[in-house]
Amino acid sequence: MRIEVRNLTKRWGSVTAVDDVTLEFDSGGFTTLLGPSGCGKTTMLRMIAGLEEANAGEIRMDDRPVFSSAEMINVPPGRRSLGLVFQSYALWPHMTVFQNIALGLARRGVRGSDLARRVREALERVRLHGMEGRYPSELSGGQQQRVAIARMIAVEPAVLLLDEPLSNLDAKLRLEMRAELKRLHHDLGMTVVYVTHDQIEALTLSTKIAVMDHGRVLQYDEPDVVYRSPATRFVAEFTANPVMNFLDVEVTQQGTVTMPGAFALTADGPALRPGRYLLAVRPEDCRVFENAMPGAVPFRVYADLSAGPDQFLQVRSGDVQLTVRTERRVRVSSDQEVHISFVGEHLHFFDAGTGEKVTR
Amino acid sequence: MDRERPVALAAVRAARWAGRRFVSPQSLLAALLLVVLAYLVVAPLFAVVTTSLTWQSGDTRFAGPDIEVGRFTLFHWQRVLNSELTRNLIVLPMARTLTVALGVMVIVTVVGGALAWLVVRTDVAFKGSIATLAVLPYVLPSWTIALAWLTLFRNQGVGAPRGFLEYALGWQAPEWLVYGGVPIIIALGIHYFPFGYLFLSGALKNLNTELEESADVLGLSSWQTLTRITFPIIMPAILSVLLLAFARSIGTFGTPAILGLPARYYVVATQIYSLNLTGRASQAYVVALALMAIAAVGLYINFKVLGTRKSFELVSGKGGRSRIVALGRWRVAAGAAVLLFLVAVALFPLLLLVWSSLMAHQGDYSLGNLSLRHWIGAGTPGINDGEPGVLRNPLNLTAMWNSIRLGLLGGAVCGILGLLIGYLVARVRGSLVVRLIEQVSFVPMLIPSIAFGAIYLSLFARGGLLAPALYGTFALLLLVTVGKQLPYAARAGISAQMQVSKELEEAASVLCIPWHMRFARILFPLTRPAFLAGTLIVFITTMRELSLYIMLVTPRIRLMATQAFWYTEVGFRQLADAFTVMLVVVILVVTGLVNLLNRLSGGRVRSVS
Amino acid sequence: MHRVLPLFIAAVLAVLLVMPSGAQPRVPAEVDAWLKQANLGPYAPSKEDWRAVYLAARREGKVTVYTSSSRVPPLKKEFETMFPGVEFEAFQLGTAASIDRLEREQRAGIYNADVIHASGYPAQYHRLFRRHMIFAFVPPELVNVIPREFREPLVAQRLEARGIFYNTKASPDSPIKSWWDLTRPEWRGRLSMVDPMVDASSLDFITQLVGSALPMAKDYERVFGQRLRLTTPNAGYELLKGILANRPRFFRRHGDALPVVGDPNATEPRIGISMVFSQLRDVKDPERGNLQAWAVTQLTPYAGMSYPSLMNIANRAPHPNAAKLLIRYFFGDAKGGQGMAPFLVPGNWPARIDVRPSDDPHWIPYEKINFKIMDPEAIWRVQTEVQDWWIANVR
Repeated sequence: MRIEVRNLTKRWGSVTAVDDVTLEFDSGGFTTLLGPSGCGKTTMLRMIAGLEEANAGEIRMDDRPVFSSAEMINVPPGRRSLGLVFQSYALWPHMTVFQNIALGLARRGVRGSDLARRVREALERVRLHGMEGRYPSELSGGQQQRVAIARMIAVEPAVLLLDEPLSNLDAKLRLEMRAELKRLHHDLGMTVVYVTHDQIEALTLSTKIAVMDHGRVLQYDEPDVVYRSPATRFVAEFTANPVMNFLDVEVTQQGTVTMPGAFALTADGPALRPGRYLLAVRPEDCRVFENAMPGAVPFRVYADLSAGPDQFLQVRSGDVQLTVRTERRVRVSSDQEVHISFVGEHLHFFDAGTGEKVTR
Repeated sequence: MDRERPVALAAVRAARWAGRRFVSPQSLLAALLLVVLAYLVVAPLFAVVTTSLTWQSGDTRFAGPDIEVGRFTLFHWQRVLNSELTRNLIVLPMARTLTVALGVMVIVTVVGGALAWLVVRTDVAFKGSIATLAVLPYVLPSWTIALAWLTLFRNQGVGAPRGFLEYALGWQAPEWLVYGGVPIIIALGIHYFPFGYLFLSGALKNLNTELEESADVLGLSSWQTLTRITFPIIMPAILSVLLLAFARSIGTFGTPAILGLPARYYVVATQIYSLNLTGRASQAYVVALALMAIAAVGLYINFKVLGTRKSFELVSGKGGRSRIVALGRWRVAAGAAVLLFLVAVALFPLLLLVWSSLMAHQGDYSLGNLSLRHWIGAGTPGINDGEPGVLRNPLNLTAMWNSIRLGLLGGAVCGILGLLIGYLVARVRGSLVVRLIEQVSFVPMLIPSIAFGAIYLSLFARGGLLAPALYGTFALLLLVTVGKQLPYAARAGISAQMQVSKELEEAASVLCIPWHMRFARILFPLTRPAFLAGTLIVFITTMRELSLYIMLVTPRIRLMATQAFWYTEVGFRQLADAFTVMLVVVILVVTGLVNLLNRLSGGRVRSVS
Repeated sequence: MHRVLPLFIAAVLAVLLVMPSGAQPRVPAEVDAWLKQANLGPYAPSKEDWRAVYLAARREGKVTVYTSSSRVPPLKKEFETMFPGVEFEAFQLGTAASIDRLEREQRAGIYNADVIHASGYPAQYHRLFRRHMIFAFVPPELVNVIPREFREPLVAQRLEARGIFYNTKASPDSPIKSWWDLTRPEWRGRLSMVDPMVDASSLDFITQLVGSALPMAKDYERVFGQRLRLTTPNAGYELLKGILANRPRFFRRHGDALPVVGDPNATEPRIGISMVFSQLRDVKDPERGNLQAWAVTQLTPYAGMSYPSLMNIANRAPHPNAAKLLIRYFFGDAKGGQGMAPFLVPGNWPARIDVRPSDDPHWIPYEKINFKIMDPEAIWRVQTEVQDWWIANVR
């Protein structure tokens, strides 16, 4: 099912939680709303679900308006053919796992052995068979999470909404659940809208990511594009893994990128108008050489932060600090001099004032 | 409803807009509750105000035959507030009512708080017995404590027959200890301190002791911990207790009538009663309205101090382990002292009642005088006007049945209304309508019970467009019960619903489970313990409530409490005592049965997220 | 002409029957229709066929009475034996509440009660009778043995009385001779009183005191040998002021005051004001603690107030025939039996003059006490004024 959101606005008193957002969620896609807490992503999700009423705008599902402020339409959540998994799971504590899943099915007229079968199938999907008789308090966090998902997919909604479903799980379980979710999406083929503040989750799971901040969508693209070509400084920073290097630079008349007192770059840099810019470089887009190379700038190793196969170095030159990642291991010691060069096509220039991406 | 097409006409849009608002169950519920509250609270209040501002048919006696009934007049207000009657009609009773309320508030908080602290936070001996006995005085009708007080303290020095203390010790208690404000405060304090105990022990149990322990670790003294950490945290509970004690004591009639009248110590409740009985209902309403105005100021201050919501919420949160204070060698002594106190204030009046009910002849304490005559006797001509024993009078069984069904039905209706109000308040925040509902639902707390009964009497006696003539029907008693107890039920409902995460309901609404099923299958089961506790409190209150019903019961619809009071009135002391014992037994048995049924029906409630 | 004359005479008599009261305004049509159907008021037959009344009552099945007296409910057994098939339902409410209830019910269109059996003459007359809420009925065969003032405008069963009781243990004879004695300082703290603010009959009682200002003033001169110097509107108020200065104890009901006045262990004299004479019967009841009290029978200017205790049929009584039956039963037989029996006690005097006095040794003949008979009109007129004064002056 395709979901279209047009000019959606939601205000809480004087605070604008969602500010004139227009988005299209592909049918069968896995779209993530990514952003820091308070960016409006959960409000968006709840408005799509029908739990929150927008002040203005329109939401259509397969061209059917489910909300429209102009036309006075607001279809209640239960009739939007969607499922919602809450951050807190919201399992009904006084009901067994079976009862939790069965309630929605029973409402749809499923009875008797059919009911039992469909509850079992839903539980098998989330690999929890045999847990029917347990109460939520008798389950671990991960298991509760799966019951919450099973409860929603049991009624076979066209859309599944997930609100930070993994944030309460520990790291290992989170990884495992990511795989489960991806598999589930693949198997069931339904439209998923996923809310998270974790960029890894977003990058791993999504077919499309909408990065949000202050109630606006800053960029809406495939994960790869978002990562490779962030539209704003904020997107670049928020999608960084683990960090993004930001440098205040100046582009000269000749097209040379300089950082006063540190380095000058020529070569592959984009053709920019002279002026001050913010340059962003991901750690993996830096090359590290032990010896001086043309185009490489000398830095001094501040700390070696290597963990396992990845080698991260923190290097400094004057006030400038960079985090760089090397694919092959380099033997370095603190205060040793290394030479860093940037891979030209992966340099992101942003307007120093607005933070918008600057194209050549 | 699912799909609506654009329409151009503004009028149609407006109608649609309204229609859409009402489609949401919350809006429907809000509308419904507004109607209920308008009926139970606003309309009666409005009737009182208009009655006090118009000529009534009986007023020819005050103003001559020329007055036009129903016409606007300030006469009643002027008589009460600005005439030679003002001082004795309202100023003194008001001052005394507030004095009594203040005294009761202090006793309820201090005694209740001390007991709660001992039971919850120390290793005091006889904990179980203390916890049980501490609730008992609330089950006793308040006037029985007043009568027990008189039995003990009255003496010839104050112009009364010898009481027990004079009889046994030859000691004549001074007048201020026998009649007037002091004994009223003590008797009501004894009656209501279980409130304080229940609330404050609940708060102390829920109080996470890690909060106090962190204070200890930071080197605060015990006193500092108590005043800087513990008190502020349980402050909402303390204020709740103060408010309850205040609200309950301003409206109580029986105790001030027994202990106050002989010394001409009129409080507002007795004043309203007497004005009503002597054809001055309008003046009674003015007095009641004035008291309500003062009570409203008190409530407003309470809200200002803590904010509406907090003042009605107990401290919640997962209580950690309780920090138990070791009393050392005082363990047993403290326990014994407390137990002795409770036996004196809780068990003694009850035992006195039982004994008195078994005395063939009043005032003869010898064993040979024990008899079951007043329980099962057939009635002897010339003795008590031939009135039979309480179990032999079929009217008493009717009264019992009426009381029980009134208590249980009233409790259930109140409980449900409370949960619904709680639901709205917890779910729909910031809506003006909901805030209005919340605030109006607290209004009956300000209205003294006796005035509340009088108001309903005037509103439903005649009958009108919206108020059928319900006088003399069970339905009226039910209405007045629900109206008066609503604030307490709403309070419980709000705090119960606040503890249920709203996502639990949203999950169901996403699954297209309609509102009534969400309430029945999810919200109600989760708030059932609160509902049950609320129902039982209303039941107990209703069973032994006198002030609210004294002006409403009719010959056909009797209640146990009014019947017991009637026995007292006509001077059948042993019968009165026997019936009061019966009343207490019924309360205990029904409460026990309800709890048992709940357990059998498997109220399995897991931790509520 | 000879056929018209008896009708004329009957009409004149009927008018006369109502006229002395002069007061019941025109009966509304629907009430009149009911009276006609129930054979009451102007339609009451001059001779009742009691057999037919009983049969009709049996069809009605029940009679409901609101009464001020705790002596009524125990009559159930006898009544139901005498009139099988007619259930006897008595609600003892007290005088004020009986009147109040009936008035409220009638105004609400609830017709519950058949008979109201209570005192409170002024209130019943003005609040009920004049508004067609109650109607008089006298068994025609008894008209000759019941003095007119007990038949018209309202029917009385007996005379009740209020007065002063004293503790006989502490002082075997009455410790006072005049009302003014109660204002002497020696009675400070020893007076008990039924609270006129709560008990309607006590309010009537003190109103009557105020209404007797003239004799009170004279009595003051006789007792103290000097003219009364007024600090209040009249001598009646002055008396009340003097009594209040002695700080009497107030009780809600005379039932609460009697044990205090008649305390068998009392060592000091005690006085009870506004006590009900019929309570003298309780004095002998061991159940009530062997109380030692008796009424002051001789006092200046008068020992107490006697007043009729009424019994009348309510408008639209659901069981009018049973109501007639009950009225006749309350009047009893010539021996003072049946419904009169519990009221043939010291302190009560039956309205029927043919009933012989009780053989109770404590029986006090009515003439032996210098009573003042209640003046309902005067009481009704000044009552609110007295009440206002009382409220303003009691503290």
